[in-house]
Amino acid sequence: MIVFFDELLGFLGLFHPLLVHLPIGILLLAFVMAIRTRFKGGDMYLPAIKLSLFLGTIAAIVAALSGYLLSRNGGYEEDVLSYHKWLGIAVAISGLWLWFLYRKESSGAFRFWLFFILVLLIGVTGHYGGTLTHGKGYFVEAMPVALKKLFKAEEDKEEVFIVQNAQEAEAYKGIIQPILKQRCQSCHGQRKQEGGLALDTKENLLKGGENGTVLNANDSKKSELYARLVLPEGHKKRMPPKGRTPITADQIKLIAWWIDQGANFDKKVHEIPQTEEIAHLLKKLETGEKEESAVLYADLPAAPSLPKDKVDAWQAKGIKIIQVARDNNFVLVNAINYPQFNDKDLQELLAIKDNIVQLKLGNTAVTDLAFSTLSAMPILSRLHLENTKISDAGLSQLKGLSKLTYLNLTGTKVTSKGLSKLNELPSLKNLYLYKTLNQEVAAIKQLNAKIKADTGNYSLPFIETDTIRF
Amino acid sequence: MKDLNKLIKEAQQFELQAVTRRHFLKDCVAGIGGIALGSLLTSCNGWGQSKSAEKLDLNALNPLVPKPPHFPGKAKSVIYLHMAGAPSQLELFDYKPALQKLHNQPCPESLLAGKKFAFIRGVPKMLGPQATFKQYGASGAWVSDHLPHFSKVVDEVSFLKAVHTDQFNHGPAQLFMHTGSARLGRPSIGSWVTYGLGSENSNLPGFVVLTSGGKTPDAGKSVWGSGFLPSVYQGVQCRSKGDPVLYIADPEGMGRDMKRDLIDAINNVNKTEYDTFRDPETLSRIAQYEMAYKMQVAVPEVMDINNEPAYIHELYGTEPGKESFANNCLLARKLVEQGVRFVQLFDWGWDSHGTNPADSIDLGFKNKCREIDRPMTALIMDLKQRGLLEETLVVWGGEFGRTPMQENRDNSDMPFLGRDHHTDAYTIWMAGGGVRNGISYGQTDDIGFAGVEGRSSVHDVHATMLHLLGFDHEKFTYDFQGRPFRLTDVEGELIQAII
Repeated sequence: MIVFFDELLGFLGLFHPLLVHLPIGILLLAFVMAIRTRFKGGDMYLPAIKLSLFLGTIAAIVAALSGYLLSRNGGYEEDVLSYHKWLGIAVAISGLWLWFLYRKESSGAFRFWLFFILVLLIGVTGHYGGTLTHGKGYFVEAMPVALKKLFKAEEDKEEVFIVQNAQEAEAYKGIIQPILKQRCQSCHGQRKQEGGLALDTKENLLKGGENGTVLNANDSKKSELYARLVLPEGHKKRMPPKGRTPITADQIKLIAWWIDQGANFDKKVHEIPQTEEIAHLLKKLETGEKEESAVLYADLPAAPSLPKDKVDAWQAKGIKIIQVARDNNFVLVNAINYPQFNDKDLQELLAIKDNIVQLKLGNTAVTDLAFSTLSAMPILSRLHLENTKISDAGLSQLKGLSKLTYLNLTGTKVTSKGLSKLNELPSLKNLYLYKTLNQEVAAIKQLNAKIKADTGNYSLPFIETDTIRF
Repeated sequence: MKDLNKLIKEAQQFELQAVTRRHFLKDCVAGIGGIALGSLLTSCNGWGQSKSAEKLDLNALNPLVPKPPHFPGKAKSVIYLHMAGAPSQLELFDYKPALQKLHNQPCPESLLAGKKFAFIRGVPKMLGPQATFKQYGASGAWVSDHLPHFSKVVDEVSFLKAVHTDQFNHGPAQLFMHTGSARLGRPSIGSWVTYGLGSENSNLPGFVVLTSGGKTPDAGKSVWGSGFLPSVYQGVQCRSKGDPVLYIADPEGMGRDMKRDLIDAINNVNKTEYDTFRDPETLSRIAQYEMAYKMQVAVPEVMDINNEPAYIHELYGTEPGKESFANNCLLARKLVEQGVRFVQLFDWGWDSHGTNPADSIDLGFKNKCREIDRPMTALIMDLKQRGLLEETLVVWGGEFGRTPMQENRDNSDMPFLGRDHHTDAYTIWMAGGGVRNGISYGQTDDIGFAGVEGRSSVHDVHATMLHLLGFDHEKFTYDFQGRPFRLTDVEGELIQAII
């Protein structure tokens, strides 16, 4: 019988997301009426306000109770849950208080401002409720890109863990556990155990989740801990799920290696056999060298949808607007069939500046005037300007492009003067300078070490065997 | 004759019976409902069919319009260098000192038990590597002295040392390598890729084929065919001599304007045809006329290597006007630079059985190595200096490997050194397009007979290539004869080590 009640209460808890909307609606309606009463005068609405407050408060209490029942089912992040809970209770209490004030017909500013606070409380409570369901940061994540920038500070805090001496570290404690902590434990940890699975301790790892063990020593392919990570993109069982920071390819390989070599919890790294590749990956952990994420552009904010009429107009001209993948709105713009592409055309592209990740403007008519436009393209990652009229004058304006990793300046008039400006590009990795006026080594030396500059001009000297025929 | 008349009569009768008054009324009800619904829907949002009837929107109809893959691909184009005839991995990349020690000794029975070879009969002798090997680059890749130039770029390359196939004859093996099936009828990988991604340059075909070595591959044009995909996705074979594409020049007296009018007229007729029957092949035809018109200008330009500077010719070892692998490598670079999606090269003449000097391991094979060494190295360097290698996947390989045994055709001694076809192990390398640098994946046993670690099947290679282009090979399908088809059929695993 007790079990039955326990289950029933848990079941009733499921109605919380439905019930919460009642107090929100009713109390907001009451507030609208209160505003009218305050600014237009009269007491026409007073009975309605009183009734709404009464019903809204009752609804708030019911919602809070059901919320409590739901929280018993577990699986929520505790600090957020407690904010949500106390705020919810505050809503119910202030609703009750207001109802008393209106019933006593105590007029004046106080009850109106209390009402205002109540509405604020409802908003904040709702936000925390959303956080509980959708995960932290969901709100900012879904914002239009322009708004998102205001909240920029919260982003990009991805911690990189550095291992002092990877070979001497304990394989589990030093390498594997930090990866699990970074990638998995926000859902499978102490606070929250999705699917009944926690990955925070050896015991929990061995225990597995609702569907049994996740670790099958010596066989990564039969271990859910690994197998889920390599499911195809978009598979609903793939981990980490869509919307979460993806795990890197290197980390996946390290997990597979650890499992295949016996999933040992005590051994040190050097005691476990390693292939060359694994040894290399371990070495990378020591420098904290950031690898490319397994999926291109996964670290960029979601792009808004494309304006169809504009895109059609560009396409008709011969400017190719090509979506880079089906599940996002990032585009590659290629002007290969529109060589007369000029600075003005580029300005028009600003309409989709939050979509453009790659711009292929080689052999077009763009000039140095293009750079001020280019610098306003926040997620531009690959820029082709080969064989154009650009020169040093423009390069300094590129520094705002924080995502730019690839820059092709082949066959342009850039010199060492302009190149030094490129050091201000934080992500730039590959720079192509073939057939530029400047190929002197000194100019390349002044570049950051992380920029790989390719000046080309390769040759294959003639060797005797080239012409020997048998 | 009498029987035939009876049959026809029967058929007419059947047809009449099929549409009874009741049927007619029933059809009308559904039909009228449909019409009403249609007008309801279109009147609501205003974008009904009214527009489409007006002007032929070639952009929307064009089957080669660029399309997004499943996820962002690191490779945007592919250059596939196929050495038709299958080069010996044992003289190029798979260094087997133990095989040298066994040279001229009879092959142990255990290796031959249950195996079938194309030409080897009885007990052949082992044949030691006919080359000297050294390790090169930071990655320490083994390369033989047959490829002195290539050894300089090994750090850009990743090797698959234990690829295996299940076909030991050229035709089926080439088909398998390019279409994922040893039987005819499947689309080639170039067609799949062009079908999936379209073409970035609307003036050039998306899939171009270039051949050298005097012959086309044994499997014929099916290795670049489109199988059951619309034929617009098949490879366009360009010639290295004369007009790159046959009849590309206008006949005398035919101006560009007149040509344009002609093609517009034909396309309009075809458009009407398409609106009636909805046959995708009609779209292919429209696209091909349109493309042919544009190609008349664009192709001769891109296929002309005369304008390349002298140092580029020196780098590749090209001689304009000749049919050669070198010319094709340079063309491949030019085509990719112009946004062509898939460039397929075939170089014929690698079938080193040892029946005559030209196909012997110690003579003709070395000449073939000379012919490809400089150009393929130049191709990698040239792509790299132009910033193209990052997004261009270069694949090199044959259709199978060669035996560690010397061929003894029909159990007789051969006049020259040669190796038979071998399915259990061969080497393929890939560069650029998101492939890791300097990896050597997979290992064969001490004599290079079979893979012992990190084996990759042909399907694995395809799955990996598609992955680099942004496709999940399990979801990349085309419906044909009632079921979705894949390039990798029901197999294929990503070769994680090189991506």
